[in-house]
Amino acid sequence: MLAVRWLFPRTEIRIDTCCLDCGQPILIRMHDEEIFEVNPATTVGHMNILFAKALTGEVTWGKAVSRMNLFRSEEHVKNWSHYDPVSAESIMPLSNWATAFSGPLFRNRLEPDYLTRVMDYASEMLLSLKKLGKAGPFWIPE
Amino acid sequence: MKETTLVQRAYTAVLEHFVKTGRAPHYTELAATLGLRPEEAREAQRKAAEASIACWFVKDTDYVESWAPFSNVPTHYLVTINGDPKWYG
Repeated sequence: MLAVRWLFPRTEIRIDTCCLDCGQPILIRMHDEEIFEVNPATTVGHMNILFAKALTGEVTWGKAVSRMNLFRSEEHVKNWSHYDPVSAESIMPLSNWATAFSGPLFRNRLEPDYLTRVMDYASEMLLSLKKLGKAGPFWIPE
Repeated sequence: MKETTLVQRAYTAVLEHFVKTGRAPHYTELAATLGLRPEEAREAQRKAAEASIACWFVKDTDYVESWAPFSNVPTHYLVTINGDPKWYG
């Protein structure tokens, strides 16, 4: 949902959600490049299924996306009843997830040739993940 | 019209509909937008989802469930834009 901002340029976006562990609220406010409020500040993003499996089609995007969530902190992720320890390396601060969701795969969705370029854009996202130190089999198909 | 062009137009039209209204169009609405017959729009919409990433339909239906970055069903990610809370991520 962090990529919504690229479809509403120069507009403030507010996301209200809640932690799947404790049910308490999480608030994000952002504007183009800037995420100017994250409450609580300890909020992290997490993906409870191998991202690589979504890229290869081993799991559906529906399954993958629904297992991509925000939590009030890393401790809340690990306390969550559905937490899979294999997914530990996907726990990242919101700023890292925002970086991962800032490439052309997300920014260029309204471009008239988007679909012909989407796989190239996906490759660029993998490079972006590598720069964040996320280059293992959790992220990149073997 | 070339098929790739039609599929791209369908993809973009669904996304623009989400941006404007907070929901996906039904393929009959998409047909009206693109000047197609309903069945042509249904096929173009399905091919657009297949050609993209993280776009899919409610199981066994032609109803859009997700068109990334938007959800067409309520989730616990409520998105408010200019004070209007009508999108889900």
